[in-house]
Amino acid sequence: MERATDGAHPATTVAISLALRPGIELVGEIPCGLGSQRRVACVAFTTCAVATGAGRNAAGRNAFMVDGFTCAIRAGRGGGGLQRQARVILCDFLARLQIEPSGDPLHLRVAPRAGGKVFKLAQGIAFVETCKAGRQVAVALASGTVAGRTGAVRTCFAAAERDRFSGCLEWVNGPHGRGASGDAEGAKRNEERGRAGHRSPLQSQWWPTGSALRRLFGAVLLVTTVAGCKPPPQARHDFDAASIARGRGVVARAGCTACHTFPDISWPQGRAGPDLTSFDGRGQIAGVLPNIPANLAAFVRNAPSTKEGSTMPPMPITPSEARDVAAYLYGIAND
Amino acid sequence: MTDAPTAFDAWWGWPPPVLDPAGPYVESVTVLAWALFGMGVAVTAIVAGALYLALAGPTRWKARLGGERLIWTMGVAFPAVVLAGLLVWGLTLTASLTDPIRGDEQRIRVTGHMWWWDVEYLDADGRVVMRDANELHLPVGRPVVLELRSADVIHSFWVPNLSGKEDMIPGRTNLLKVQADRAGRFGGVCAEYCGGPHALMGFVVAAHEDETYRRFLRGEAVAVPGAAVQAVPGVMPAADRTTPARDRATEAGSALDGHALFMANGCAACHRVAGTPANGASGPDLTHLSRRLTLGAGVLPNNRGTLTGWITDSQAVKPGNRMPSYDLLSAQEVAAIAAWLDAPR
Repeated sequence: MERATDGAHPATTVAISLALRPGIELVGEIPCGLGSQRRVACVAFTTCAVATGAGRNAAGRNAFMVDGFTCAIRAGRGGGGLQRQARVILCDFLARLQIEPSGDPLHLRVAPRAGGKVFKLAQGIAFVETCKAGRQVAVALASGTVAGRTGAVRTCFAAAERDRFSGCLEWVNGPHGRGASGDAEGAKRNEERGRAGHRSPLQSQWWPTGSALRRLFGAVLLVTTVAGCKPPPQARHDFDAASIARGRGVVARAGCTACHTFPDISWPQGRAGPDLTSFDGRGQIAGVLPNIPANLAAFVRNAPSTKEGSTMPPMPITPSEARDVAAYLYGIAND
Repeated sequence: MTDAPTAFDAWWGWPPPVLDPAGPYVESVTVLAWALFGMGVAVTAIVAGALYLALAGPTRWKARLGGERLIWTMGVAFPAVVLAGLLVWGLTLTASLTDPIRGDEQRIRVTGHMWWWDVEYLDADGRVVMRDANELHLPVGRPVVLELRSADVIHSFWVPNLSGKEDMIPGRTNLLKVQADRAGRFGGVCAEYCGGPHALMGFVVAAHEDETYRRFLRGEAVAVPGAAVQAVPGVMPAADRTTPARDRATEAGSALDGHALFMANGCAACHRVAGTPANGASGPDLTHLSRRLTLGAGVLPNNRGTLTGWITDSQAVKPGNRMPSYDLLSAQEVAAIAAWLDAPR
């Protein structure tokens, strides 16, 4: 990792593993067949870096960015550097990850995938909450990003409902949110979390008091929320043709066409479910989930677990087939 | 992308391959077909050569071949000998197709309906031991006699891998012997136009080893060899193919009773489900629906998703079929009915 560069300090490079301490474990997802692997990996690493930075340099104003697939992390000039990075890179990051708490309460395993890279984040930095769908990932990410950037906010995402992940993360302990310490609901949540074997690594929360920080926070939140609503098309369209073709085969073989209409499958064209002709043009999956590949893959395989109350039944396809289906769905976009 | 895949392609191959014999009754037919094709090619070549000679050949050749003798030899004698030989050879070759039925074969009664197949497995005394629909399970290596009937119009039973076509004629029972020599899955179709969705009147033949076949007749769920997708919920042994864990909350939390809904919405008027009051006969028997490979007479793979879609709007999938779309039911009600039907019994 290249260390702080407040002008005076020359950049140095340190291997990523040296910079990290035991604590929360993040396994970056490198999904096969979904999007550019390189890009996704970078995104994941970036956030690790942000979280790490927040922990290690709570008082500093270091920003981190990723330098390529080799995972070197460079500390940029503090402040605005990261803000720009974060806006671009982070808007759809975590939603590409599936989150499951590991057995150890202090560890959080994100998207265990064969070939994934394992990172350990400093203890007490990011505790990820999966929750009922309904909030944009980008909001949560922006919060984390701001936290990392300013070094003034420590974030807490809690993994309360371990099976519910769908990319909809909720920021539990936000300044305007529920559950800032003391709040009854938050206490209840923490209690549940404790029972479930999770211990919040953050015993105390504190928030920036400076109005400038608040304003900055608000601005970033707004921008990232808006940006997160619909990632730029190029972020979602670089699926390889093989994956798309496989996905199309899976769609036909599993019988998705019994309920849905696809533009390039002439028969059957089911009408029981939504017409997916221009799926990609929609902001959200099933009206709730952010329209990103990992959500889509989870949804097409097991909709009721991904979106509570969904009447689309679970489908007998493997997770990798589900990713192919997601690629296919994005591939048929007409925009 | 290539041609649009349909569920047919992806599911069990469409159209079913001809000239790919999987049993003795179609092997000889295949040999004969290739032989006739070869003869046809040879005759075409001879005629084309003669035509060329007549138009542009050297005068000497034309003079030699122009006499009456050629007409007697090549025009009369040659075809007579060759065709007679072919006839004798063909009849000898396919003699086994008309072997008398011994009477101890497994009998299966297949009744064509518009536009599905009613399948009844009979015991030695002709009693129905099991009723199923839209798929035919056979023991490997043993001849099976099919009693082919029709409930309405003329259909034609055709499994290209196993037999020639045999019409199903109202008021008449045609017998057809089939035998599969290897375990596997074979596609079948209705080969006689029978109205509306005739083109979507297919079925699957599954040939099992003896032991598996016995278990099938006992009503157990059995794996079908060669199945690309063992996707029927409840019949999914392969770890890789497991259904995603069903959400218990969604599954059990649904207070709706699929059985009651099935009865209340008139499904029982057409469908039979053994062990319940549902005893309709004008639609496929749904007792063993959970282990079926396809829905809608071979048109969709059978899983919870397609079952839901079929119940909700079967007219979109198979336009003109006799089951109305139940889009008046709520999604939860359809899900409850599908869950109930989908349970092994």
